[in-house]
Amino acid sequence: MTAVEKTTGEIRIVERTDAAEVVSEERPALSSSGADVAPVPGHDGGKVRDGEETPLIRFVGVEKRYDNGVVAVRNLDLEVRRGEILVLIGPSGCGKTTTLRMTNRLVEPTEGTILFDGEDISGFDPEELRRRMGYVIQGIGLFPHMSVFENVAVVPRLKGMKGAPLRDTVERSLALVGLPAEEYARKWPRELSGGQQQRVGVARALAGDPEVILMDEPFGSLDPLTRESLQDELLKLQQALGKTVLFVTHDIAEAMKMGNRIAVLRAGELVQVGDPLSLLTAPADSFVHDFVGASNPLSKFAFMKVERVRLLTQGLPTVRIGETFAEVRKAVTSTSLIFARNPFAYVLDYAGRLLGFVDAGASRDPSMRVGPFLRRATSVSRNATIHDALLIMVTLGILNVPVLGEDGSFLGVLTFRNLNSYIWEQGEAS
Amino acid sequence: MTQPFLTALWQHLVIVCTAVGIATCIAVPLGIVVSGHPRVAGAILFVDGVVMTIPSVALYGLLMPVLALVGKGIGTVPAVIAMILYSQLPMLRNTVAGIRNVDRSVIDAARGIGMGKWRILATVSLPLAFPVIMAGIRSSFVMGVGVTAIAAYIGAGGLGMYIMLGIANSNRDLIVTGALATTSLALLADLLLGRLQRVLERRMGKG
Repeated sequence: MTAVEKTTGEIRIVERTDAAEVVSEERPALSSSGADVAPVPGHDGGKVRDGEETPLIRFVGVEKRYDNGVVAVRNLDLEVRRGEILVLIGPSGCGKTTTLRMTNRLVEPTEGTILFDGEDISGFDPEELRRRMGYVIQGIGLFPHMSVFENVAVVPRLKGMKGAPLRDTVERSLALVGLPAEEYARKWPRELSGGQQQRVGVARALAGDPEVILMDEPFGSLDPLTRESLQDELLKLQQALGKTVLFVTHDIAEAMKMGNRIAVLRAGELVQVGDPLSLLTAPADSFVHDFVGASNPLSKFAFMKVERVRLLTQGLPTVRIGETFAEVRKAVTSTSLIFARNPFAYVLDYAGRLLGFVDAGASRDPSMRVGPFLRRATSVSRNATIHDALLIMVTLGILNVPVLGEDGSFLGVLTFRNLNSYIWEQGEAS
Repeated sequence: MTQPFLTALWQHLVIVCTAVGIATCIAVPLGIVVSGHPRVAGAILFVDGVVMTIPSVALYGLLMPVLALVGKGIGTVPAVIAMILYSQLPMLRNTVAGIRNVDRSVIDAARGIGMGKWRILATVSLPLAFPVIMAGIRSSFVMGVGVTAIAAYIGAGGLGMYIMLGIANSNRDLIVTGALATTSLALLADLLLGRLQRVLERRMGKG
């Protein structure tokens, strides 16, 4: 029981933002369950919460009927709020890509209006409009005959930028996606891996400092590991920059992870829009129910972020890299962490980053330094989902998963017990 | 011996270069325009295909009465015009194919990030289609060197003179000289144009 009492010393890394106002704009039926889910903290919450703020993009009675009579999108009413990631999802042919492409006038609607920042987009020059919106596609579409620098420089150049400001913008955009300019600016797209190419694709979209980024299955052609890391980085970037994102995918796990809100489309019609939990707990019909996997009890962990759970941050068994087993022994006896098996201590460097762990029994010599006995620790980022963390605990048979910040800093430990209480609280609340 | 040979070579080159130059100015822009309209492109390519099947001697024969109206029934003019017609097909076909085969997602991205139609053409489609377009120009040039050998029969001069005279006088040496010179010229031209293509590609950043 001591461990439980000691958890009072923990801090929450991120406070929940108050979701009630956000949800009040939803269908009333969803608000009771939806109220538990806050938008991912770090979003431009002030703007989202302000009810009088016009949505950045608004679809009003939008319809797209092709010449051959096929109706791709029917009577669509939808808002994209400032600072949110709105995911459009549905089976192929549901009209999600058409909806995205109508937003930047690559496709013209046959009926209805689309408002961008309150103005009808049909009044904009299409090219000017597109320069205010980033665009990232599944095929990546980098210009193969231009260097990475030239690719990223396209939009700023179209906007009339040149010289040093242009170089700065390109370098900053590349840095944001984790590709230092010194190393990558001169490379050709074909010299990069698929994941790196799409990073350049994202940098190209960011370079024009767009008000919204349109993404059409941007990670669809990447392998699962690369996809996951790009998803994490996009979330991180989006939180840091507060950009509004309209994101198309057919992958429900991706939608749950990325979306503040998810719009489910079927055969050109919007079936339901809401935050991930509301889709799971109050699906509008059996189609949504089956599509989001509401019958699978694990589904709801696919969007809940690790950072929402109380992490254990006090009384952890930690030592610094230069220290000895005497300190390790002290750490494991005074800790409140419950070990699954043998006691161990996390090893940090002097900047507070997690290097790994050492088994307390690895050496009997108290004067022995921990360095040679260092082992790799499996960790998750604070943007990881509870699903990811549970998967690690279950597959590796461990009770504690270290959580790292974006810069690799050690934020604390996600313990099975805390996860358990969080899940229980969620159940009580709904 | 050298003087007449150089004259013939010069005549030959003038005909081929003039014709390929003019043909490029017609076929490449035409190809760019029709590449967006598959039906029109199909029709034009069909007509060009038919023109290609007309034997060159027959084409000279057909052009003669028409050009005779302006006093140019024989000589360099009909030779150049015939070759322009022949060059159209490979150049046009390659221009259309080159532009159409540019990765669709690249064009989609270009449009989506706000590049205009002409900017996409100038900075994306054409540079990417360049190797294919250039291949069309090369094959036109090589073909033109061969076709022009026959233009000697309509008084256009060129290396075909040796072949024609050789046949008329049953002189095997003259025939071989003419044939070898024509073939060498074709191979050399292909080689040099290939070099030029690589230099231009490198300059466009595909090295």
